[in-house]
Amino acid sequence: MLDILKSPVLTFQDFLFLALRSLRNVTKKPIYWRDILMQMDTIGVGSLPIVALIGAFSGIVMTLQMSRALATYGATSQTGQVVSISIVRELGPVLTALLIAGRNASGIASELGSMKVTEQIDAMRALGTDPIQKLVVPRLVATAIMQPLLTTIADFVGLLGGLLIAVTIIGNTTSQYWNSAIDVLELNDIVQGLSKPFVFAIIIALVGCFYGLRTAGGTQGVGRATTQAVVVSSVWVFVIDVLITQIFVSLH
Amino acid sequence: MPDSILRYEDVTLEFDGKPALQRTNLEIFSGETYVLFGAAGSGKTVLLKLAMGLLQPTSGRVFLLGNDISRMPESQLFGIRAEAGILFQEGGLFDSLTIAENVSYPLFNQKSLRVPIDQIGQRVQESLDFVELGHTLDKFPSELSGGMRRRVGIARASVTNPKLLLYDSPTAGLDPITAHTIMSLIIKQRDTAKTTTVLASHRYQDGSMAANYVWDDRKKDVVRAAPDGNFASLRTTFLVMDQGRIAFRGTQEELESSTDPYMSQFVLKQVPPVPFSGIPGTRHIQADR
Repeated sequence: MLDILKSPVLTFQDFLFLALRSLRNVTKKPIYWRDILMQMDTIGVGSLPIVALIGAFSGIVMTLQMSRALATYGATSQTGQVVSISIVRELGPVLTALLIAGRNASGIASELGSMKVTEQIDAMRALGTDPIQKLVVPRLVATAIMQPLLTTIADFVGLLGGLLIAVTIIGNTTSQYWNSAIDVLELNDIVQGLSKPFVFAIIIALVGCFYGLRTAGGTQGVGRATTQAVVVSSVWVFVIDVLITQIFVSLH
Repeated sequence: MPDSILRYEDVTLEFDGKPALQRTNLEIFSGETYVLFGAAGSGKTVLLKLAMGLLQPTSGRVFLLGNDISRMPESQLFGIRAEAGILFQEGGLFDSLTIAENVSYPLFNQKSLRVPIDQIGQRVQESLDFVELGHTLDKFPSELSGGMRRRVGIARASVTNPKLLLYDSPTAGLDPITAHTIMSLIIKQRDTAKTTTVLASHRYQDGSMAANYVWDDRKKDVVRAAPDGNFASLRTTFLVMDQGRIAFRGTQEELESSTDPYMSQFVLKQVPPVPFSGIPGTRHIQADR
């Protein structure tokens, strides 16, 4: 029984060591600004089209589904309220995080994994650079900055998608939809909606880097590391989501 | 007695409880050449990576230039690593950087070297000229052949003028002509900069060349240091590794006279071939371009 637990516990311990070292190094010099900007471009700007697309469709589907339930109670005027709370608190952060996990955790793991199997990570260390500082910190900082921004954009585009359905199919007016959507949002919702992507970003970047840096076994190992990074970071997104939601529910 | 530059004291290294290196004792002396043979997985790469502090021993101690690097934090290791260079088996070139950027990387990043910025370009050019690749500054590693990438690796490892150079299977996977070129460059580097050299290889010819040939600057070529049929005494020690242990250490003559079946597998009992021609500007390098 203990032998079965040994491997995941050791893996988690290694992950914690990497996480602590990386978070501690964020303020340490040298800071590789060029790498941070390049990663912000790859992770942020590169993910923008797909995040906006998924945001719009989630808003549309959400509104279509809710309209039937709301019509039962004659409360279709509250469409904006329901869509707004669902998207800002939950759908926006989680769907964006899953997209970033699929797109960037995999990208980070495969890039770092390829570097590991071709001895570029060892070369970096031998030639005077700390791979945590040069590779992990820029990816961590870039994801932590860009993911809340992407989530905000996804939320907004989702609300626009909801507006489209609310006006054309449900029969709300534009001002009715926006007033309902904006008025219902409290500070708690906004903080929840922005703190979640920030924490998810840290998890996604660190998991991607962790599996990339521990890649072994050639190109097959790179494939395995990539898959593990996506699966593990996606699972962690849901686990952390439950924890953060519970904290905010308790605070409310 | 020459200075000790690298010392392994009872070093054991395990991966997931499996030993990769077992209670190894070895001392590398300044100005000497060490040829390391062994089957795949016998511990050659591990031994070299331990020397650079890229791996930490499970037990025992490693001293590089008198410093115990066995448990040293990464931040302190950087200064000591600047005194040694390593050519990785896979080359280890950064594929997102140009050749010039790859070779200048240690000069920019090894802060203890304190290389003035305005001298870096010249040092990079000299180092690439040394391996006859001065024309590839703006190319990327993917645009070069396997042999050329190894030569860039040699340029990058030697650009800091290290006291110790470690070569991990520098000729693995190369055709005989390119392998010969790489070995000529290693000998040239060893003899012109008087660098202590540790060479891990599968090919007996590599060890035999390192032990019997010297760089002749007048001829711009490697030449035999002893008449055909005789072994040259070029301060070369042969080591054979077997399952994480050093199973043999001695001269080339002693290795060739060993009756042990494992040792015999690494010995090719024939006079090393006369080099095709020297470097630079020779036809085998031209062919590699």
